[in-house]
Amino acid sequence: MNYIFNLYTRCLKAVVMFLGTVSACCILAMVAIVVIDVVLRIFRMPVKGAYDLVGIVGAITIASALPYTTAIKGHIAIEYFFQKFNRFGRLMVDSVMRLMSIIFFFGAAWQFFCYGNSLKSSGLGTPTLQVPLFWLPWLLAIIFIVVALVIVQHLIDPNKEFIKP
Amino acid sequence: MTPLEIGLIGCLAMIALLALSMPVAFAMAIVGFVGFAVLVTPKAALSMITVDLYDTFSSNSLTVIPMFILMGQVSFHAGISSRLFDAAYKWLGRLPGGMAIATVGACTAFGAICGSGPATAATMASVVLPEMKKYKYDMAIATGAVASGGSLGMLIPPSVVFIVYALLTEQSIGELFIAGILPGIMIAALFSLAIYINCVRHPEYGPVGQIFSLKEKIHSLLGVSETLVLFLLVIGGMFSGFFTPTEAAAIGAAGSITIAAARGKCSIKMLKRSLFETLRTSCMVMLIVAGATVFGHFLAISQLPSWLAEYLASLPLPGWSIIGLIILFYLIAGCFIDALALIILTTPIFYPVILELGYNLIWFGVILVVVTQMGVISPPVGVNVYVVSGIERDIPLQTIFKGAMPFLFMLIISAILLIMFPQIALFLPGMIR
Repeated sequence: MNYIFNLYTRCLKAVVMFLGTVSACCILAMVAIVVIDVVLRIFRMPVKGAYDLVGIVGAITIASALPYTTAIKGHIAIEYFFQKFNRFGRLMVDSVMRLMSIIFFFGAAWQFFCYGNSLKSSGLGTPTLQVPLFWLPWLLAIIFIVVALVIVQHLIDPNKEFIKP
Repeated sequence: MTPLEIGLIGCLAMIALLALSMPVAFAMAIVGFVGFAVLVTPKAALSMITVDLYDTFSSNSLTVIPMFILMGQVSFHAGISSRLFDAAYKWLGRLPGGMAIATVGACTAFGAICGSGPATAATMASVVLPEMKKYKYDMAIATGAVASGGSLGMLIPPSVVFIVYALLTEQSIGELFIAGILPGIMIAALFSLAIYINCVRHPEYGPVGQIFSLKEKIHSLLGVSETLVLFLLVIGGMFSGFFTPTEAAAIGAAGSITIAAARGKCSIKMLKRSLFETLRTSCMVMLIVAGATVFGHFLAISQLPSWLAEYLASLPLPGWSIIGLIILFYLIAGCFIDALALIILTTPIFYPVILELGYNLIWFGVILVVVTQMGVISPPVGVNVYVVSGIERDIPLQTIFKGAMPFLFMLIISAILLIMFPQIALFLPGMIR
């Protein structure tokens, strides 16, 4: 049982780090697209659909960074009052807060699957390149599930980050 | 229950969740969602939250945030900060407390390529504190200068706080950027004055530094040239109308990577560290913006902001006293909540009030940043103080807070000057227009 849990933890860490790497690559891609567009614009040859591409890459950048940011406990929270509780109080409050966050992210994931389906049936695409967009909410939904799983890990072991920054 | 009452309960619930250490972004999104579900329907709330999150994540205008943050991170890891300090020290080091004044100068210059206050403080702390220790500087004034000087990164363009404020209030990012320049320089001058007065009264706090020849001084300016080029490229390109803010951010990020490569500092390890720090900060900011969007929609439906605006405007008080009360609120709340989170959290509430009172939103944005700057060096939750303390672990927190007090006083004077003379903030945007 312990072996399976360790294996699962390692897999989840690998997924989080993979998504982090995707996000890092996307930031560079975003910079490259915009810079190439600016340079080619001087020669009156702007990149067609640069606006569309930046929007898509930007969404992947932020969404893919979400599990990593959550894993290193990188979100801003006010710890000042929380630290005034005793150990049991902190544990209880922390657990309730995390449970609420888990429910929120699983719920958001479900909604994003549905939203992707609706985009697929409507055939909505980007304004210039007409790239279909339905897969983007699906991707966000999968990432939200990963975020919820990371928060579950923090619920199991609240004293440390799932991944060291 | 009336929508207004539900709006008030929502605000109280969010304060409770924040006090119970729920991340700010999650608290805003959850309360916004539940409140919207109560006021309209759960189905409408589900649609609203999906669209809000999706729109924020795929927003083209918000892509400016990760790119400006990347520019600052690469500059930080490429060691640009130490060259800035070297130049500032060679020119200002002969003054009493010259090294601390040089720190403020270097922070001001570094703020011109880095949009984050804590990042500026962290950068400068690792560069200047070992030097100041070597020259037997009083550690209270040394750490206070770093923590407070670092806060200038929030005001001097490009500033992440200004970008987010501009997007929330539909103001021009460019105008806000340029509006921050003069107040930033004024605060840097006041900080330097505080150090100078302290070190004239207590010469042991900041011993006078060594003498440098004019040739050495002029040679040190080469270290400033890359920052100046990057700043002029980004801000100049934006104001000449050649770049949009997103393009300026991308050019800035590419420029900082090019400078790092030219200096032989652009290793894979350095780039990886810069990118991961960028994605952490960007994601944290963007999620707060997404949460604020959801919360803002709930507040709009509850009509709380418009009620508050009408109520405050109808009070038999002059406008400036209401502004004073708002600033007092930010001053107190800023001691407990992160500056950026506080601005995102409260802008949907106070924005209609400022509009109703007829004040300039660019000016108010500058005032907000100056006031929240006080929060990052005030106890108990002064972020910059904790950042400096994290780097210099042998210096007690209370020493750094004590050292930051003269700078806090100067920030209060700056806020008063900005209220009395709004032109300090509005002069440059007026010229550009």
